[in-house]
This record gives sequence, structure tokens and C-alpha cells, in this order.
Amino acid sequence: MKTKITIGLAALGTSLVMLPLFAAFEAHVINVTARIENALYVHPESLEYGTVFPQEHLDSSFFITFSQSFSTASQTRVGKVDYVIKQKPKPREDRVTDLGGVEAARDWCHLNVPANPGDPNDPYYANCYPSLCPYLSKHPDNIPATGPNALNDHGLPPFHDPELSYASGTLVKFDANGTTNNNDPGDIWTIDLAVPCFNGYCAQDWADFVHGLNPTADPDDYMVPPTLEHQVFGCDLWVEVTKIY
Amino acid sequence: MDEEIKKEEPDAEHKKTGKLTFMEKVFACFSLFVFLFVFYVTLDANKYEAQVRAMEGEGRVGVNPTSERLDFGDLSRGTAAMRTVTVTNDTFIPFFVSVVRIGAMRNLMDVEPNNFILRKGTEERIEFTTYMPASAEVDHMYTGRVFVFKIPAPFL
Repeated sequence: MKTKITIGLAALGTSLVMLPLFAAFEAHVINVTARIENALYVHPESLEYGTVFPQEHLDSSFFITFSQSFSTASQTRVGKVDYVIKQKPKPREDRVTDLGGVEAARDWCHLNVPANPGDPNDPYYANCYPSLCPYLSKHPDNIPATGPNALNDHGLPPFHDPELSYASGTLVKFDANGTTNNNDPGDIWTIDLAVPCFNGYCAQDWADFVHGLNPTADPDDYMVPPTLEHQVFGCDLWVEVTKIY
Repeated sequence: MDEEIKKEEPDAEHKKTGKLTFMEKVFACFSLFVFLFVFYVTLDANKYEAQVRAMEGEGRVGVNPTSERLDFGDLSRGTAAMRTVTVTNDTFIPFFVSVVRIGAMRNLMDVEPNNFILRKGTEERIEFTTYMPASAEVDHMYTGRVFVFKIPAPFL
């Protein structure tokens, strides 16, 4: 009899302990949530420019559109996607693991920009490529040229501050009425490289070259220190979805 | 001889009546508790579908930023996409967060950070990065599932 009472009390105690746990779960008092963000970051494949010479102007491109899963007729919840094309310093491939992964390595490069960019012995250059980002322009396809979605992409000339300036675009599957007239389901971006010159070795028409591509830029700000000659430069381009609606 | 027979009597009695010994009862209670704990953690885990499609061509990406699933869209070989899941702990105890991936996506997707402690009142962004390798089969949809387990860890 005594044993039965003990077992009964133990069972009752266990139930009392477990009940609030499940009740809390059901009532969402245990409030640990995980949610998928709308943001999507896409890294286009490597754009290789090879060996280049000062004041050369080279073209490359990539294409962004809706995925097959997004394009299905049943997907009617979201019709427009806004995005920006961001530029981030490029970590050296052989240092990525030691720096804690791609994102951590990129953050490291972002936070440790050398005070003197002309010092090749700065630890920055051991982990990251000299930045090519200010010299990359982004030009939209300007399609569609008419209608409500005309010219909804905004490019960026070379010789800019990559921390502050972004190119941006909008993809349109259908409009507010649900129709696909004059929609904009894809954008082709042309990525130009305007090759900088080395400080002290620039041609006389360097200023004209810079102003011809970006009238607001100061040519003196975009000369590369000559100590970085023969180095490989790099930049990571990321398409970041900022809004869906 | 009589003593030996007497000592064996309790066990023989249990076997005869089918009753559990004290240790068996403790073990049963412990097993029940473990089962309920695992059941709760599994029930509470966030479960997501993950998918990515290999696309023909070079430098082409197709996006699907909706939040119904971890959809990395369509990627041509050599491109990468990243999606994020934000985990928030609004309770009064720390939680151990672990991400488990299964299916074909497992080999294409990196998770950073994984297996970490989420302190009370804090938020962490888990980044899922998918890279489309050169060996990917064009037009093939790679799928998988992602489980985000949140295990109470009051003593950590």
C-alpha cells in the first residue's frame, strides 16, 4: 500500500512538472523563435579580368531573374523584388578558413582597411586582396524602356566610394492588378572595370579618363599606390534582396 | 542452504508477480523523462524545406526571396546564394541551438554559426550559404530539409 502511494505521488509529481512545460509550449510562453528572412544574397560567379593595364576599360556581365519556383503561376503572394548590388572587400581564398569562414573573413577585411594603403606589409594584404571595388561600374539594361516599370534600375559609375554607393534594381513579376503587362522579370547588368593608374605614373589624360566616366569623381582619390603594382586586386559583388511586395 | 533460498526469494517473487524492482522503476521514470524531453525538443524544432536549382549558362541567377522555405533560387555553376534565419530567445534561460541538414542540399550548403549557445534576451542570425559547384547537373533541383533544434540549457 505504501509503495503504491509512493509511485502514485511520483507519477503525480512528474505530471505536475511536465504539464506546465507543455502548457508553456502551447501558449508560446517558451518564446524561442526562428524565422526565415526575406533577404537573399546572391554572389555572381567570378568575373575574371586577367592582366590589365592602366586606363583600360573592360566589360563583363551577369543576369538576374526570378527563379523557376518563384515564377510558377501559383506564386501570387509577391510580385516585386527590390535589390541592391553591394561591393565587399575580397578575402584571399587560402585565408578564409583561418579567418573563420567567408562571412567572418569578409568582415575582417571590412574592419581592417589599412591606414596606409601603400604599405604592402600591412596585415590586411596578407588576408585580403587590394580592393577593386571603386573601379567597378554597374550599368543596367534599361529594359523595359516604357510603361510603369520603365528605367527602374539605377546604375553606378566607376570611381565611387564602395561603402556608400550601390547600384539598385527592381524585378517585376506582375503589377498591383495582377497583370504581367510591361513586367520586368529579369535584368542584365554590365560590370565595367575602369583600370586605375599608379600614383606618379599616370598618363596626362588620367583626369579626363576619370571625368569621362564619372564627372563628380576626384581623379587624385583613385590613383593606386605604386607599391601595389603586379598585385592581384579583387572585389566581391553581392546581389542583396532588400524588399519584396 | 536455507539462507540462500531465502535470499533468492524476493527476485523470484518479482518475476512471479511481474512487478518491477525499485531500480527498474527509476530507470523507467528516467526513460520516460528523456523521451518526453526529446519529444518536446523535436516538436519545438523549426523545420524548413531547402532547395536550389542548377541553371544553365554563366553568371545567371534566379531569385526567390519569399520566406516559405529556404529557397536559394536558380544558380548557374560557380554562383552562390545566402539566406538567413534569425533565432530569438525571449525566455529567461539560455538555449543550445543546433542546425541539422539532410538530403542532397547537405553537401551544397554551409551553416554559420552552428551549435551555439543563445543567451536569454539575445538574437542570432544563422547564415545558410549555398554554392553551385561546377559538377552540378543542369536543371536538377537539389532538395533537402533543415532542422533548427533549440534545446533548453539552464546550466550553461
